[in-house]
Amino acid sequence: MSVRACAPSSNDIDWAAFATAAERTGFDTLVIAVSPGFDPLTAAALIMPRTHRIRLAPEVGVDRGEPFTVARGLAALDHLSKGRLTWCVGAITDAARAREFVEVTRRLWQSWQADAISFDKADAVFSDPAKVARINHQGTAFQVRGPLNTPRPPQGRIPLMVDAGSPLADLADIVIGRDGATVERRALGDLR
Amino acid sequence: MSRQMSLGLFPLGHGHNVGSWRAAAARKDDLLGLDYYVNLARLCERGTFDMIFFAEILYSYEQNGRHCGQLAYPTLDPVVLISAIAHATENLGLVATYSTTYTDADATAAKFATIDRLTGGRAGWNIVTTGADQSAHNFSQREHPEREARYTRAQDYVDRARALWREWPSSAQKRPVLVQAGMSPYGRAFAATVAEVMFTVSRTIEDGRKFRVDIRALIAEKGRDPDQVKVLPGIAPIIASTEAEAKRKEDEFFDLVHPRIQLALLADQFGMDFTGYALDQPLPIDDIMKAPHVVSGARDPSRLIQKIDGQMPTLGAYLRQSSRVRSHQSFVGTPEQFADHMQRWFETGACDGFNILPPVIPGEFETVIDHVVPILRKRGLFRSAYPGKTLRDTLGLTPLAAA
Repeated sequence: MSVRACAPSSNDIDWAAFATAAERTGFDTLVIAVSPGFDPLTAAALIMPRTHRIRLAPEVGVDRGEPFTVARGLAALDHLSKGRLTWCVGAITDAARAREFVEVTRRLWQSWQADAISFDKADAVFSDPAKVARINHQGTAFQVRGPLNTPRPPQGRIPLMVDAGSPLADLADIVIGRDGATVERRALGDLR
Repeated sequence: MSRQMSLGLFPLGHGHNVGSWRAAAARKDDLLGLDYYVNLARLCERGTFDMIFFAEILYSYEQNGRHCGQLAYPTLDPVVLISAIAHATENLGLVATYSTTYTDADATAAKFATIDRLTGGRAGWNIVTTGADQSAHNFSQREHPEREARYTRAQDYVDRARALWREWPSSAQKRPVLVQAGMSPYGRAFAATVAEVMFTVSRTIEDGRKFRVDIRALIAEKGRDPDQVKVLPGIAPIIASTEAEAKRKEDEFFDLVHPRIQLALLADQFGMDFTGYALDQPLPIDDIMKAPHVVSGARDPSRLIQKIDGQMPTLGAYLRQSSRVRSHQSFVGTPEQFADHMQRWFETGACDGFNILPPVIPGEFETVIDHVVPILRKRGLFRSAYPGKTLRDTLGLTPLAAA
């Protein structure tokens, strides 16, 4: 079961205490919603070390900004949390741009193969040039060369969560039904 | 109380020495795990440092269009990093670089507002316009904008962020501390208008004094109080209990820079292949100037080279300096000597403190915390306890009435 939390206008709820309580109660995911002046990914990074099991699902929109920024921010927290991150995409105004955004973000995560870091001190090879490649995306909304400067996140592809009826529903790993119930579309273990 | 230094830690990879990941203590998973960064943050706080500072890189290193296995170590999103280590500290300033050229002002303002509020006013934003051409291709841009255009955008971007911070609920220090790190004339003018901390490059004490005198005049010209801006040059210390031991350590650190790493570094800086050139020969400046391309248009090879004491260095001597800490100054000696050096710079107006760039992490930073900070404290040059809670308090900046 997931719990969805919004920052109230004062912004000063004790997020770590809230997350710990949700974890203790047995919720498996904490969805952190966006509000003016409040960045859910940053809040998720602040909360993460205070929790142990609960999945964190910050809302990171695709209406503005660039896939490279989103890909590296989510990848960083997926690494630091050892794979406890879910990507919750909020409201969408431009479906075509949103789909391309998700596609490019996922390709950037794949730009480093899982075993690209060789860390060979004797031969002075930190990472294997055969296992890190450009993506050379030339799309309508985005032109992105890659590769990402962050290795592949531990989950390979960070699960994507959307609301039912979202134009990204067919790309999503988790769809939240209109009654608030979560429908798991794929087993999380299959995402690699 | 008399004026005291401000000190920051700038960690990069396993250290600023480009071969530092080959050091015995370096482990494969360090840079992607939380523990490595939490340890550094706690060391900073034990040494009552003002702040820890993370850089931003918006591309993965390549050479000839191919991933460079020697230099392309991973970097994590710096705002995610400072947010993830916040819980482990109570007073430490948390500073992240974020580019104004390739990101959205509203999104960036929200990121820094969030960490600043949730940490009780400990955040700082190092505002850069990004110097690397390669970044453009990752952000749907055909080419990297010229410096003047970048700084025009930066000014609008920061104005927008400040307007939003006045609108949103404010933090204990009203808004994040603003930091700047560019040394170009455009960078200086921008810093004089907005910065409260400047990370600078000064290789000699004379350079440091001249820069600080000039920038303080420029700040006053813009109608601001120069004492509200801290000038912190970068420095890479190699410290041991005797001078001879410190020199041995310096040699050991250079040994980490494997010939393959040397070649990758030179190719990155000069855009040519140095295979076959001897380390004891003068740097082949004629060949360098004839090289078909310089990797980054922002770099002038002759400027990089002149930075070695005015004389044409040997290839080996150039590499020794450049592989350790790029163009920043380094220091090799005992804790007492390093404290003397810092004191001389600080008391003769060459700086307001330092940004420490350890060549090997965490070892060379532990030495600073355990052996240098106590000397600075005993001399009354550095605090023994944090004066307040916010980064502004720690830096000794006047509280703001509004964001």
